[in-house]
Parts: sequence; structure tokens; C-alpha cells
Amino acid sequence: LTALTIEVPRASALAAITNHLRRWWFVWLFIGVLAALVLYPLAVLFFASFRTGEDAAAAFSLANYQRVFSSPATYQLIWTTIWLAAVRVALAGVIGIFLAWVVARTDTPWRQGIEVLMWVKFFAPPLPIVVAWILLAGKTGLLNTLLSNLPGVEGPVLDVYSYGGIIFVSTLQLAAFIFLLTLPAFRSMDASLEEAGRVSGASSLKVLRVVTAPLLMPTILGAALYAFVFCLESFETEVMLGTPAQIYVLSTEIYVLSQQFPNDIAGATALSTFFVVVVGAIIALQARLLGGRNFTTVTGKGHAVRPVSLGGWRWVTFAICLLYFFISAVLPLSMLILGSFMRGWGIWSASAFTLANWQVSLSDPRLINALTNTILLGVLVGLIGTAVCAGATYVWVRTAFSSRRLLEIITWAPRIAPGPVLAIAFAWAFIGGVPIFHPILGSVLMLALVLSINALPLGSRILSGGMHQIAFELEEAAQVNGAPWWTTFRRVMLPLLAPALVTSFVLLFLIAIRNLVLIVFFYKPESRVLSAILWEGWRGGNPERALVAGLIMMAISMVALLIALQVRKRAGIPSLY
Amino acid sequence: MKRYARLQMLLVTTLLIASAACSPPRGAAPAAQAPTNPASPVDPEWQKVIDAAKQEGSVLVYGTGFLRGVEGTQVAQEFQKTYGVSVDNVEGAGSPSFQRIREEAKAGVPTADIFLGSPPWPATVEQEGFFAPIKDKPLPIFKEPKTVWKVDPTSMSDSYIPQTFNYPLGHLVINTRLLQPADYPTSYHELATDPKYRGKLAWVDPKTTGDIAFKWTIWGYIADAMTLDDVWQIYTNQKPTLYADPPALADAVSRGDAAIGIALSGFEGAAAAGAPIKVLRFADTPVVNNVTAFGILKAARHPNAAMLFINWAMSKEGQEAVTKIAHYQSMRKDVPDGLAEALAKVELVGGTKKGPAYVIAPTHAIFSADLHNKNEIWRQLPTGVGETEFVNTLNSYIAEWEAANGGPQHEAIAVAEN
Repeated sequence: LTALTIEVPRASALAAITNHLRRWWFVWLFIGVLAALVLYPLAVLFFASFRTGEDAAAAFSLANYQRVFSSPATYQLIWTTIWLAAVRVALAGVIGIFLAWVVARTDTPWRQGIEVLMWVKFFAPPLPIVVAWILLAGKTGLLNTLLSNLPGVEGPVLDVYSYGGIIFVSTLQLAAFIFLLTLPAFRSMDASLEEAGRVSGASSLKVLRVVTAPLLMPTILGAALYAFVFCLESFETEVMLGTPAQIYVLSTEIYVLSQQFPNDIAGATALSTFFVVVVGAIIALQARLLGGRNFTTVTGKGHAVRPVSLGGWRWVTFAICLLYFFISAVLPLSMLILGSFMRGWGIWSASAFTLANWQVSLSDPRLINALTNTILLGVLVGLIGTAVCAGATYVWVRTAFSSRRLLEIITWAPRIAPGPVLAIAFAWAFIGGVPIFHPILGSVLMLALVLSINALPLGSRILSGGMHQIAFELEEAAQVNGAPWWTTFRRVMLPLLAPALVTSFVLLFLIAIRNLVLIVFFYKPESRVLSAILWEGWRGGNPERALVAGLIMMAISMVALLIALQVRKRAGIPSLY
Repeated sequence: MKRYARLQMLLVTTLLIASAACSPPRGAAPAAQAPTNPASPVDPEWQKVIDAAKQEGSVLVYGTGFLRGVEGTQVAQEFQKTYGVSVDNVEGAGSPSFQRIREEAKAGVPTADIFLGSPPWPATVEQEGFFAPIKDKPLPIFKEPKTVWKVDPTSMSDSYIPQTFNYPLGHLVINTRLLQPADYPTSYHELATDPKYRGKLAWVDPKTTGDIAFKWTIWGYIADAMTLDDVWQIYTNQKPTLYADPPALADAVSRGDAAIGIALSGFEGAAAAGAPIKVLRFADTPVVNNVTAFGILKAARHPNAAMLFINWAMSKEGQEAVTKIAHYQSMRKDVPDGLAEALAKVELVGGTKKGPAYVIAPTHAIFSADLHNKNEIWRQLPTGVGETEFVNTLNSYIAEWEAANGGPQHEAIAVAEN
């Protein structure tokens, strides 16, 4: 009897596990591969954070953590990093969401054009844009020179080297990012819900606040949280605009620790645990805020997309959009284009201009090779990243798989380490640790693999928003009618998800081709891409060549956008979303 | 579709205009004449190297130096014209390039043939055992008379060779639009203590780069022209604008964001582009130069091509290409310097007599790296540390370092000036 009472539960537990594995083996395999690619490098790094001393004399202790977190300077850095990120996300959130609403839900004139302009803004490579602002609003910048000609104005009016400068420049960039992350959700939302609000007597603003905003909560929150983490880790703007004014943030410190020689990877990793805590808290916060609520807006009932009529105000919203684009893109891009034709960027003299930077760059065979590599890299990351993110988000949003939260955690994981630290983690794991990667070391495929992993958090956020919005009964209806899972997925989910998938592909394409930190760490001559040429020109004392590469990167991005729009147009969908 | 066609037309027209342009790029000079055949008369052993190099067909350089940018590509093309061997350069600062070499070696998949960089990196690569010995190789440059060289190629190490100088022979670079001749400083001490320079200086940020320890090594430790008190006072009292690295500083002074750059490197391109800058040299004060050096890596996949390239880059023909195209100072006395006029015409201030010229010894590269890496106190500048604590801490460390390394190491390598 004893044997029976013990055996029965064992048998049933075993049967349950067998059943579970039989049903979910593919998901477990997927999780295993993803964990090996994402968690293994981070685990190697985490392990190193407890290590003190070299090789044979190495010991394991909490000494690195003690060293880093016993310094008051660390807490000052953390505080500056957090408040700077919070302010920028708040401002960029207001601008980005407002612009997304204007483009997707109102009758503002030339909305498609505004959307294209937002993409243009987003495509601009960030490093040259920051320097463009130094030339515009630095002490001897163009704007200060113009302003100093006004009566009663003495000395420089604007100072880009300040908290204000950092907030201003990165808010403009971040707003476009939030705009692009939230636009699909605005587009996918059923307008009849807003209409019901208006029929009940609510103003457009109240409908936006009471109906639209709460319905879009998953996307808005996801975008805001992602942007917050993005700001915490942001580096170029802070180091270029902050350092001269002695403003320091965590990412600057981590960069220095990881790049100096001998580098202090243990210290950098210990400091990076701040990001583990923040990202963990963000995931928990997101789950708590969204738990139990229904955000389904794409249902089987049909889809009204009638825009809100703004009356005369539509010209005001139009003007606001144009003003944003002028300040955030036209001004700095003009400086970029001008700079690419200058003998010395920012050095104004009688013989300041030349066409030769373009001439020499275009005759460099490396540029042609880099062009091909860049496009290949973008397409590979777009495809691999989107496919992996779609798989992961589908499992965690739309299935009953018991460990689905694991996938959400894995897709967030690359965000816990800032770029330079992540690069070292990948190098240790893929170059130093796993021989199977040696045949593709330094190839475009290797770059694509690393960048696809890096893109998981962004791709997953885009696709999870889309997955959340599709009603479960659509899939259930197909399954009730006897359609197998694959047919249901292909015939029901894929068409509904298509806008988010295209967005994911295009965004990952763009993020991949303009990445600097990881590419610079891994590329080789045969896999040189345009951002590597940009970096080489920048660091090699030839910024004009960097500008040419940056502008060609933008041109590729524009072509990608035009192709995407064309494809969508042929499919009868006028916009990218 | 018409819109896209117009866009395409616009793009094509822009490219055509660009390709039709004829003025030279920033800093570029007309391409050097095709070098004479450096292989004649040829030692049979060296001929074997040349033949093997042609078989190998290419050479890959990690690091940064005379190969950077458009000009560097043109220099590499000159070599290719002579030998048919292509040169590629994965440009990168010393630290990431060294880390690449180390990671690749660890993984057993080395890629690069040559490392090219400035101190402390060549010495570091050598210390870590990545360089192959070069002194015993049959390079024809080793057989040239010692009097040809400003710095003997074999004087620094058995495995790397100084290839170009990094600085013009001076102490500061100023923006002539922002500083009048009457205000030119005549010493670092004056710069550190005279209130008229407050807010006018540009220096590197001690929190983001170790360059400050290196600069103090050459101007303070070797030249005895800048005290540690001067360093503290410049950072603390003179409110300099700080930049993340020397190139950013050089750009800022060239553009006019700051009047005085306590720096000498990174101005080549801006000077060639006509930036209003000038180099000042303090009278009766030693000037200390720095060199970029290169060596062949033990795991080179193209060792013969690497040897051939290094020999060419040090030969008269190679140095002519480097100085004329990339605007460097020559390492050879029989090749004129290629610095742009703004950097070549150094103004002597505070007297009429030049001090001696030196180049740092390998020990100094190690010293400056240790001085920075083992003393967090640099990073507490400008306001997180008192003057006495700053000076005493570093002086104690220097005494400790000297005791462990056989006494003071102030002596540098003398350089013959043109």
C-alpha cells in the first residue's frame, strides 16, 4: 500500500511532465537556445564581477561590489542618471505620444508626410547629430553667433554643454523613438470607442485622456519604460555634452571602467547591477500595473479608423509637427550636410568648402563593400530579430505555457548591461568561450547574431504591444472550426500582426545599421559596415569622412523606408503601419 | 512613382557632382610619386621575403596611426602600387585594439599581422608577449646608417619600431582669434596661476581618460616644466573646459570653443583645413615628443607582407608618402616634415633659446600607465581632492615606483631637430 501511495503520484507527475514536454518541447528548445545566446554571456560577466585578482591569484568575494557601492560618488552618479532619464522620458513621452496621436487619430493635414519626416528624424545617426548641436549651440556656434547680433545681446546665449543641453538634444531624439513605438497602437485602436466617448459629450481632449490613453496603456507604458532604460544607458550625448560641464552619469563611468587599461570589468559589472535592479523593477512594475486588465482593441467586429476632427486646431497641430521637425531634424541635418562639404568641420574660412570629402569617400572601395555589408546586416538583424521576438512574445502573450514569464525575462536581459559591457560579455562568450562561433568570428553573420540579441528588448516590446491588442476569440474561432494551430497562426494572427512585424523589421534594420558600440568591437575588414567607417573617421581625426558615411547611412535608411512604404502601398495600406 | 524617380535623379546628380569635384580633401596633398624600387640591390634573404609577401598578398594592421582616414588609405595605396600587396587597417584606439588582439589570441583565431599605436600600447603588447622579435629580421632599413634617423628604429625595443612623431615640437596650441600675442603664456606655471587664463583653457577630463597622467609624465616628470601643484591648480582654480579625449579637445580649440589647448595631438587635419591655430614653445624648456610605433604580431597570418610593409613605411619612399600625404613629421633626416604650416611654424615664447628635444623612452610609457591606473586620485580632480593630498599621494607613489624600478627614470631619448 505504501508503495502504491508513493508510486501513484510519481506516475501522475511523470505523466504530467511527459505530457507537458510533448506539448511544449519546441518552446523549451527555443528557450534553451535563447538562454544560451542571451543568458550565458551575461552569466560569464556576472561571475567575473565577484572575481578579484588575476588568473592564478584570482579569488571570489564581494570586494568589487563593496568597492563600488561604498563610494558616495556612485550614489551621486545614480541620482544624476535617474533624474536626467526621468525628465527626458517625461518630456519626450509628451511630445512623442502627442505627435503619434496627431498622425494616427486626427485630421491634421499632411499626416503621412509628417510620419515620413519622423522616420527621417529617427534615422539620423545620433553621434553626428550631437556634434551638429555643438556647432549650432556651442560657445561659437551658429545660433549663438546669430543671436549675438541682436541688440542688447552680449556673449553666448545658448550653452549646449549643460543639463539643459543634454535634456534638449536627447529629448528631441527620444520623442521620435516614442512616436514610432506608440504609433502602431494608435493606428490599430478601434475608433468606435473614441466615438462613443464623443457621442457622450466628451471633448477631444477628454476622449484622449479618458478613452485613448488608457486603452493604449500597454504600448505607452512599454515605450516609456523602454525609453527610460534607453536613457539610463545612453552614452554619446552625455559624454559629449556633459563632460565639458563636468556632468557625469553611470554610463560614462561604466564606459571608462570597461575601456581603460587595465580595464576594470569587475567594477563595471558590479556597477551594472544597478541596471539589473532597475530592469527587474520595471518588469515587476509593468506586470503590476497591467495585470488583469484587458487591452484588446483588435476584435472580430471590424475596425473603424475615422480620424478625430480638430476643426481649425488642425492647423495648429500641423504647425507644431513642422516646428518639431525643423528644430530636431532640419537644423542639425543642415549642419551635417554643410559639414560634409567643409575642409574642416566647424572651421569657417574663405576656402572652407570642398566637394572632395565626397569624391574621396565615393572612390574608396571599402565604402562599396561597407554599403553591401550594411544592407546585408540590416536585413539579417531585421529578419532574425523579428522572427525570434515574434516567437517569444507569441508564447508569453498568447499561450498557456506555464513558464512563459521566463521568455519575457530573457528578452529583457540584454538591457541589463550597457553597450560596452555587453560587448565584452559577448566577446568573452562567443570569441573566448564557445568554439562553435569561431568559424563566423568577425563575419557579417556574427555581427547580425550579436545585434539580434541586442535587439531583443526593443523587438519584443513592439511585438508584445501588437500581440496584446488582438482578441483571443479570433484564434479560438478558427480553432473551434477545426483549423490547426499553424493555419490559425498563418491565416489569422500573421495578417493582424503584419503592421507590428513590419515595424519591428524596419526598426531593427535601422537600429542594426547605426549601432556603433557592438559593431566597433566585433567587425573585421571583411565585415566593415558604414557605422564602422563613421567610427574610424570620427576617431581617426577625419570627421568629414565620418559625416559622409553618416549621410550615406541615412540615405540607405530612407531607401529602406521608401521600399517599405511602396510594399505597403501595393498591399493597399497607405502607411508603414 | 514620379516622386521616387525625381528623388533618384536628385541622388544621382548629387553623386555625379561629388565625383566631379577636383579640390583635395582635408589635409590631403597630391599623391606621392611612385617610389623607386626599394628592393634593389637586393639581399637574397630579403628577396625571399618580398616573394613570400607577394604570395601572401595582403597585410592587416590593428590600431591607429599614419594609416587612419582618407590620407592613410592613400598611403597604403602607394605601398600597393609598388609591391602589389594590399593593406587594410582596422582603426581603433590602443585599448580596444589591444583587447581585440588579446581576445582573438585567447580564442586561437588571430587575425591581425601588425599592431600600430602610441604609448603605452606598443610596450603593453610587447609585455604581454604578442609581438614577434623584429631586430633579427633582414629588413634593409636596419642596414642604413644610424645618422639617417632622428630616432634610431632599434633604440626602443627588440620587437617594435618608432614610425612617426605625434606632436609638433611645442608645449601648447592656441586659437589666434581668441588670444592676443600679449597674452601668450610663457610657462605652464603661469598658465596655472595667472587669473587672466581662467575660463580660457581646454584640457582633458581626468574622469574619462588617462591622458592627463601621460601629459604630466612628459611635461612634468621628463621635462620638469609642470609640477603636480600646477596640475591641481589648473583643474581647480582655472576652471578649464574639459573634453573626453584629446581629439575632442583639438577640435574645440580649432573651432574656437576654447582659447588655449593644453595639448598638441589631433590638430593635423584642422591645421591643414586652415584653422586659426598656433603652436607655442616655452623658451629654455625641454620639449618631449611621443611616437607611434609598430611591430609584427607573433600570430601574423602574413608575416612576410608585414615585414615588407614595415620596411617600406620606414624607407625614404615610405616616409615621403607618410609625410606628404598624411602630414606627419618624418622619422628620417633625409625626408622633410609634412606638418601643415600652422603646426610647423612654432612660436618661441618667453625668451630666444630653445630647450632640448626628446622622445619618451619605453619606460615612460609604462610609468605613465602605472601612474594613472594605480592612482584613483587623478579621477578626483577637479574638486574632489585637496592640493596637498593630491601632490603627496602621487609623489609617494612615484618614489615607490622608482624604488621598484631601479631609481628615477627621467632620462628620455634625444631627438635631432631639423
